[in-house]
Amino acid sequence: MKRLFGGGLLLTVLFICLGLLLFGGAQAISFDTFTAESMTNSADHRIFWLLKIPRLLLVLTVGGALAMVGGTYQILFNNSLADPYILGVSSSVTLGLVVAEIFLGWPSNSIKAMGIGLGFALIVILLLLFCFYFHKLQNMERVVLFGVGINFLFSSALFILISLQNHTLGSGSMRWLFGNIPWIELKESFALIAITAPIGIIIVIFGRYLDGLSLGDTVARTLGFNPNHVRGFYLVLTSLLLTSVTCLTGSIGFIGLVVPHCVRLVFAPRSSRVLLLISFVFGALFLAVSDTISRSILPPLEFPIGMVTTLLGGPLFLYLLWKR
Amino acid sequence: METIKPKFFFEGNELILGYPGVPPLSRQAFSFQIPHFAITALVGLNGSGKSTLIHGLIGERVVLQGQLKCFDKPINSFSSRELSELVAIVPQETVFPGNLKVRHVLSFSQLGRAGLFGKLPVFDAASIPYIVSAMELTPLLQKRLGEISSGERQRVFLARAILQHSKIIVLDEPTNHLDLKASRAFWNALTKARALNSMDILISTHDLNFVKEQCDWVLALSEGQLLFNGTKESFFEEKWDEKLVDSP
Repeated sequence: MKRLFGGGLLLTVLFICLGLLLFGGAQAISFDTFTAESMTNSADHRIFWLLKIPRLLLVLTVGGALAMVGGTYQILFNNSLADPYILGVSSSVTLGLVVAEIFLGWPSNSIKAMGIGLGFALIVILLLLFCFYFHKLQNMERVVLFGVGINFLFSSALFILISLQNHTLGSGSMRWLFGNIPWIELKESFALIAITAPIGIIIVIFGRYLDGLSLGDTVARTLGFNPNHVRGFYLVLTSLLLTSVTCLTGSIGFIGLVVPHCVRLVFAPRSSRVLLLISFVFGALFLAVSDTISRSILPPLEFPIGMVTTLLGGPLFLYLLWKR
Repeated sequence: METIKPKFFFEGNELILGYPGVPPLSRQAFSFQIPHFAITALVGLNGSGKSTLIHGLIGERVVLQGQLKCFDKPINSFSSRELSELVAIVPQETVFPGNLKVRHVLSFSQLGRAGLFGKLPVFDAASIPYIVSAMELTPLLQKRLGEISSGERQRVFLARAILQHSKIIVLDEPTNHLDLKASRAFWNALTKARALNSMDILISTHDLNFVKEQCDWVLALSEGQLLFNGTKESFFEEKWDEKLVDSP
C-alpha cells in the first residue's frame, strides 16, 4: 500500500514536471493551442512538434541511459566512484566525431561521422574485452584502470585537437568538452529510442546478475553466477548504450555518477532492477530539467549542459550525503 | 528407496592447488578426507593455501593436478546451478553495498534458484523464518548494511548463506575483524543455525579457542602442504597447534 502511494506520488510529480517542461520554458506555449482545431497549423504548434517534442525525447533517453549505465558500473566494478565515462568508451566516440569533423570535413551530426565515432568506440570495447578475457586481467580493478588510462589518453587527444583547430571549429568546439544537446528531428529521436530501448530493457531484465555480484565475487559464484561472464556481458551492453547516446550529445558529466547514488540514498531499492529503473526515470527528468534551465538562463544562448547538471546536482548530492 | 550416504563431504586426491599462470605454493601433492556432518576447521598461517582450497570448493579453477571431490563427485562436474545448491559461502568482510537493506540481502539467498523470472522471498514482519529470529536479526531487517555494526553485518551474511539451504556452508575467516563479544554472538548464531538445519560446515579461522570448543575435525595447511588432517582431539593432544605456529 505504502509502495503504491509512493509510486503514485512519484508519477504525479513526474507528469507535472514534464508538463512544465513542454508548456513552459523560454518559448511558453499555451495549452489552448492544442485544443482549438483551427490552431493546428500555428507556429506554436509547429514549434511543439518539430522542436520541443523531439528534444524532450532525446533528453529523456540520454539522461536515463547515462544514469542507468552509471548505476550498472558501480555494481559491476564494486566501486562507488564509477561513472559512465570511466572506461573511455564515450571519449573514444567524441574523439572519433571530432576527427571526422576536422580531418574529413564531415559534420558531426552526419551519419558518416557517427560511423567513425562508432568505429573508435568498437575498437576500445574490443580492446577492453581482450584485456578482460585473454590478457590475465581477470582482475576487474586492472580492467578499470586500463579504461581510465584510455579515457585520459583520448580526452587529452581530443583537447589537443580542439585547441589546435579552434579557429576552424569556432566557439562551438566547447560542446565536446561539456556535452551538448542538439536539435533533432522527430524521426531521429524515434530512431534513438528504437536503438536504446531494447538494450535498456535487457540491462534491466538481467539485473538479477548484478544482484548476484553486489555481495562480492565469491558469493556470486556460490549463487550460480560466473562473475567474469556477467562482467563481459554487461561491458558489451552498457558500451553499446553509451556509444549510441554519446554519438549525439558528447559527454555530459555528473548524471551517471550521482543519480544512482541519490536513488540508493533515498529509496534503498530492493534490487538492481528497481535501482536501474528508478535511476532511468530520475536521470531522464534531471537532464530534461537541466536542459530547460540551460536554455532559460541567457536566451537565446545555451549554457553548457554539463555545467548545469553539475551546478544543479552537486549541492543536492552533498545535502543527501550530509543528511545520512 | 534409501540412498547410501557418502562418508565424506569433501576430499582431495593427489592435489596440487594454485592459480593458472602463477607457480603453486608447493609442488608436492597431498590428499585428505573430511567426514560428513562434522564442523571442520581449516587452520594455517596466512599464505598457507587456505583461501585457495576454499576457492577450489566453490568451483574456481585452482586444481592444477589431482582431483577435488564433493560428496564423491568431482567439483568441476557440477553445473553452476548445482553448485549453488551445494555450497554457500560467508566471505571475509570486504566491500558491501551500504545502502542495501538487510531484508533485501537475505532475499538474495534465493537468487540462484529463482533464475531471471522466479520470485524472491520477502522478509517482512508477516513472514520471518524462525532461523532469522533465532539469530536475533529481526530488529535489523529494515536497516541498511551501512547502518549496522560489523558484527551484526557478519551475522546477516551468515543468515544469507544459511537461507540458501545448501548442503555445505563455507566460512572464510568470518570473525577476523570482530571483537570478542561480536565473535561470540557470531559463533552462537552459527551453533543455533546448525541445530536447526543439518549441514556440513567448513570454517577457515585463526581462532584456536573456537576450534577447541566447537569443531570436530581439523585440516591444517602450511605452505600449500597438508600438515594435519584428523580429529580435533588428536590435533591438540599431539600439539599440532604449536607446530603450526613454528612451521616454516
